Amino acid sequence: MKSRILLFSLFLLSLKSFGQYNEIWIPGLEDASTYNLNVYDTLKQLRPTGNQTVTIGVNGDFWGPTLVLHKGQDVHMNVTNHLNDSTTVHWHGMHLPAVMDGGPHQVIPPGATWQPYWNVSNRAGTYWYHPHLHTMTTEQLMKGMGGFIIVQDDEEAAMNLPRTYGADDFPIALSSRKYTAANQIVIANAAYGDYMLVNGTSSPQLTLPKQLVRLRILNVENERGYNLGFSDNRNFYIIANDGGMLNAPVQVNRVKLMVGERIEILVDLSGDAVGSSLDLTAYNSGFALGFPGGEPNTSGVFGSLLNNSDFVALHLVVANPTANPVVGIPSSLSNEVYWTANDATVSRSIAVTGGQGPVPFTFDNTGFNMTTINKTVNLDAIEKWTVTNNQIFGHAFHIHDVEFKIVARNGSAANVGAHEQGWKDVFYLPVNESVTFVAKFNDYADAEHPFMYHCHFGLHEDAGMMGQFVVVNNVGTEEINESEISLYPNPTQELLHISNANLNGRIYYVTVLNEMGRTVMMLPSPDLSRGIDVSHLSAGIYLVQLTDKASKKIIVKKFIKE
Amino acid sequence: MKRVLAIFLFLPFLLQAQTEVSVLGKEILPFEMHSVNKGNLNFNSFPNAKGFAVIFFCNHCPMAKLYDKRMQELDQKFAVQGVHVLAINPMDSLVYEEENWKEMVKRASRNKFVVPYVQDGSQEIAKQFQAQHTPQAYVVWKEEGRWFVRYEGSFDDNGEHPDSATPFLANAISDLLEGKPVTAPQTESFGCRIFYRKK
Repeated sequence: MKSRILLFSLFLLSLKSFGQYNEIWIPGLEDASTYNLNVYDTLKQLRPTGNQTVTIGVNGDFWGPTLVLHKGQDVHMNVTNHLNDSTTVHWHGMHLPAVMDGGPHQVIPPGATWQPYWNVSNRAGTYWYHPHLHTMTTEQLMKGMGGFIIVQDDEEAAMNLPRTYGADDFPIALSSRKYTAANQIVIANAAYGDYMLVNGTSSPQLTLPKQLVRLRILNVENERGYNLGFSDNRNFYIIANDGGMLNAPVQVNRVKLMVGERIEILVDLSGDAVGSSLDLTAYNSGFALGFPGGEPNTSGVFGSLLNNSDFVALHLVVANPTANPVVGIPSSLSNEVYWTANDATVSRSIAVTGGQGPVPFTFDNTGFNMTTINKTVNLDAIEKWTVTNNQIFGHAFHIHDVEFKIVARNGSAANVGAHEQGWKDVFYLPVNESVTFVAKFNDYADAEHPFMYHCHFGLHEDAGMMGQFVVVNNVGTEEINESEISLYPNPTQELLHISNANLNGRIYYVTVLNEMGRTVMMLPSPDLSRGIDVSHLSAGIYLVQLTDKASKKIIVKKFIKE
Repeated sequence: MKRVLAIFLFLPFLLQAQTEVSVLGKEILPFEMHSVNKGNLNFNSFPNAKGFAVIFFCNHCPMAKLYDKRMQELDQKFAVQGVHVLAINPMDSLVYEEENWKEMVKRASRNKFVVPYVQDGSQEIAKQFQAQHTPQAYVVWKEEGRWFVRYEGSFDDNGEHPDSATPFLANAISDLLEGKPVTAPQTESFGCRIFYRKK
């Protein structure tokens, strides 16, 4: 008997010393007005033993820093592509000019630095950045390219909520991966992963203080949806979705989160024992075909060891509370007034098509084409879009530029979920449902540069389930006369100025190329009153391409960097 | 029925994304090589050659960077027995500045390459092997005056920890030198993708 106890104790000890779980990586928090994001091909030990996995990191070896943006602030991004492939970086959920949006048109070639900037007008909430290079989005995202954005504003700052990052407020990017025998991420022919990967950590565990905590959860899968709950079925409170704080917390014990969607939840651990554990569980069993991840297959393109089962998304361990923990669930949060269907002056319908036999999914039987503008929206229009899915599989619909209000599911406001009452930029579109949303397309007109709408499933958007729209107004601008332009000082060491100050706002794009013809700097709609900082360029001859906003004509000038 | 539909949903275009292409057993036609450290070469430059370990390689890839030393050691072990290592860079040096001739010279000199570091500017060598990654290894073996691919895959199975890796490539060479068929002729290659220039 004694030997059995001894053996059992040794077994427990071995479990402790060879922990089943790994504490998740919490991305570093950066709070600045200029961010330098360097995108690298890199390696990470993702599997417990054996070979390293080829990954893509932003300033690191997987995923990237969490960027804090403040509502009202001007933010500048320097995105440098160190990959041996082109890429783009899309600021998911941000309201900004199309030319800064980082969609499939803002391609950053290897070695170039893209420098978008914008004024942050989004509400406090959890957003993110990720690659959006057409046909390559899945591969670059699955390799780890992306990061969180946390927007802060005065309204949220006044709420009695946990907001100490990494202490009582945690970012959680839920995902899974399938691996080859050599520990490489399976990209082709793999809609779902077999093993959870949360914030780039396998067998993930998060230690939380014994108090009320805030979890910012992002579904960053290729296709899988999560029907989330806690393993003891406790209630939790949704305080925000994609576009920021709700008007009041919503109490639930389950919530579905599809690819690209975010929720912020409060969960109360104050009654849990220190050292106890529970799981954030995906209750994904029992779904019919059409729920992404509901397939019964365990192998093949749509197979996964996690399919149609309840599985641990994230193991949670309760530790000592922090000093002065936030107590109590607020009864109300925000006072947002939303658009209604009656506010809309334009109605549009989009149908999910394709998906039969060898035909990929599309919208309105039209696959994505970089040169086709599918919709033209007038600046400041309030529009109502209804997206209908009568095909065989669910989707996650996302639109760039705006946060919208879901006003109906299957034609009825009563069908809209309590968890999706706030501003949204992604919604779940199940089989045999329609979703109607209302949005105002304000601030940024650009007849040339489109925004995207698409299914956020990597394989679907890469295969063409995407369309593009432009927002236009009818205000013309004067064409630039080439003789108005010269560069000074030339040669230069640090700043390069353009002779005519009146050109500000009339230059649509500035691209700097080296003498080999490689793009080294990309400046969308630059503020020319500041000059162009070329101090980091090596000495040599460079070409500057200036795109005239009115005519889209490209004017080329030369300068020497000393 | 619906499930069958779902399975077929993506196959046509996903198949295009398949990366592993086998050339095992294929005859390789001798090619000219311009190396940054050993001048211009071809197979006849190695009179005692029974075979070559052809390794597609590059400057940029973090996985390739882990194999500089192992490549030299492999050559030092097997060159005397008539098997020579060739490091071939198939990356498009116009698109990727880091892959240009000058940077290749630096890499070969800094890391004391004893193996020829060859620029495959036209990507014609890589196309013969249908190479997909750097690093990716092949053994071509001389049989009755012709050259055949007898191994394809990875150098070994652990980038950062050579001591705990299974030396697939070295094992294949040893098998061939002993006149045996290669025990494991095909392993998975991994690393950075080679993108072929569109014509």
